[in-house]
Amino acid sequence: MTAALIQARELRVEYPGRAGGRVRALRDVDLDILQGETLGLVGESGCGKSTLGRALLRVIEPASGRIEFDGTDLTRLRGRRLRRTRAELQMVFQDPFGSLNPRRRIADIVAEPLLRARGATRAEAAKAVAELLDLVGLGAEAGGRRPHEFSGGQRQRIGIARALASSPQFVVADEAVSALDVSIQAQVLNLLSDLVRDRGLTMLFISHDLGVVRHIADRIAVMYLGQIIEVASRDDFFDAPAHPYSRALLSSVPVLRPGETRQQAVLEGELPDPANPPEGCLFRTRCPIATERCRTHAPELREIAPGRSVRCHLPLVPSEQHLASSD
Amino acid sequence: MTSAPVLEVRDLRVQFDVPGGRLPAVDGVDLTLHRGEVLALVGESGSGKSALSMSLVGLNRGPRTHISGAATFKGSDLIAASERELRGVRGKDIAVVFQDALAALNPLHRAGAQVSEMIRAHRDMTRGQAMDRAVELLGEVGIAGPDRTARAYPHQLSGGMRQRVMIAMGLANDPAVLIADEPTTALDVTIQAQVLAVLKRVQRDHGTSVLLITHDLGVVAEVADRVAVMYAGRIVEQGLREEVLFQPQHPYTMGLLGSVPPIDGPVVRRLPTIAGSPLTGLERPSGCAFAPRCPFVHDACSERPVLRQRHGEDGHLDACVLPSPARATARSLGGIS
Repeated sequence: MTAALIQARELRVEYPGRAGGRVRALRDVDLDILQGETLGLVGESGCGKSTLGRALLRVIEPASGRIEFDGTDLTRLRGRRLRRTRAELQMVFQDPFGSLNPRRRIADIVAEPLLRARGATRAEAAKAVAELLDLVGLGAEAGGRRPHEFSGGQRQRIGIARALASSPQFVVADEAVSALDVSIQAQVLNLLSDLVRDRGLTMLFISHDLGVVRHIADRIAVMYLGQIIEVASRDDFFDAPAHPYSRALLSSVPVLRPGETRQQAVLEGELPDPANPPEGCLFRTRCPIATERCRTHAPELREIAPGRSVRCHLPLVPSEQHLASSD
Repeated sequence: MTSAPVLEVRDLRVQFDVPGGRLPAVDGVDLTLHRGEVLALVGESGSGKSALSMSLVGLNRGPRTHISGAATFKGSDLIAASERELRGVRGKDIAVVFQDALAALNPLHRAGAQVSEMIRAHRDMTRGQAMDRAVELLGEVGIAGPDRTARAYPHQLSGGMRQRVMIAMGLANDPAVLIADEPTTALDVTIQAQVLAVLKRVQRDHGTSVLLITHDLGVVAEVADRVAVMYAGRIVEQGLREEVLFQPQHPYTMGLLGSVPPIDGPVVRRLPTIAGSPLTGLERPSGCAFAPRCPFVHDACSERPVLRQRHGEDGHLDACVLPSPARATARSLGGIS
């Protein structure tokens, strides 16, 4: 078994809500991200997947919980040690238009993490930037230009070059290809998977697009209302999802296949208000198989097979015997 | 599809004045929308699909826009129509549903009032009657508790709910044509499935013709009867859903389909891609607009290809001069089975 590079434990993030209340965006999340893997994090808007990605990099401060990285608890780091560690943890954003400073040259944008976090000299940075721009397929000459001179796909390549500049071990890609047209999306996905392989990167790939996640991820984690509700290998997940929500999510994706078109929606209702979540299982208000027990008892995330966990009293995949007996 | 044409577009051109010249957003399009069908207009950003549909209802007219050609609807030409004439058509005979319902709805008015105003703009009804009808319409688009939703302001509604309110407004006057511009693009998949089911039901129950503008081939597969694929302001392929999606003839359509990572079947290590990027500048090649990105480009591509039937069934048209065997090769390389 590969070791975990990142271990989140009981990670909680809260936002101020109405009338002085607290809205829980992350509900005590436990998650391991293994060395060298790409973990796909899926779920609908508001489920907390971006919050989790940002909390792991401490862009958002967790209210409580731990994030183990390389033997240290990231939540306790301050000052210079935090800045140094940040060089190891980088992010690729969704919006290739909003995330690059329009007034700066591409070379300066890409060099910034190197200068700040790694303390590189100007000369070292310039050399590294030229190599990075080549690596992402833009060519070193792109460095003298400014963001508006580039298309969305090219800007996303710039964002990737910047994220890789400090030679990080871990990258969070938050909807990194979602704003791109499909033909450009395929080019950027191929670039990302090459980089992950060649540089041995560990990546948390956040996306609402299950086809894209299936293409790039080794394992899948599903979130609903601030909780992880399923973790599985890619093939297990796409062949037979164990949580009723995972199944609904998968069958909502329009499929390009000859034959009859589907006309029935597969999941009724909408996401409950996170400030006022249901009692018991958070999914039970939309779950087609919920029972009385789901209302009275919140299910725990439990392992039903090696490497496969689900937060459901009635998983769609039978538990393997030796594991089920411990429940 | 043999039913009567509702809307016939002929040689439509839309050009925008931009610094440095005129951008040919729509570059000579012929298109027919039949009664009761969902026709999907597919393309990537800048392909001209929105410019085309907005010009049909006069929503992109202005000093910097040049529109020519014809769009015949109920015996009159929408392109030649005055703004006053169009005002009588918009929202009544032809309704539009936009992607961003939060921007399209008035934030100061309750949802029910907006739907009932749409009814009263074109019909002689009392406020009370119009409100009753509005609540009924909100129920028809799948809103549970339509009374409550009618009293809500747009910001109090979720994205999926707002999009349903937009569709209810679109249906307010039982239009012959509904133009839906990326109606589910901002929605999550489970909500998208619900809204698409509503659109499909509207088409079936009301016999409405839907012009669906989308970049999402999965959405096309889900709801379209026919498909037209746009590239650089031109239609490059058109036909029944099954023909265009599963026997694509144009290398661009093949490339698009191949670039979508599927949620089942074998996982390929590298996705097939289309080289280069879409045309964004003012320049258009004199021949096939896709030629600069096409892996199968040859001498004949320097002349502008006509959209016509070149293979297979009636009504399956494409604008590619490649001979059939070369297309078969193209399909296999594009990862299309």
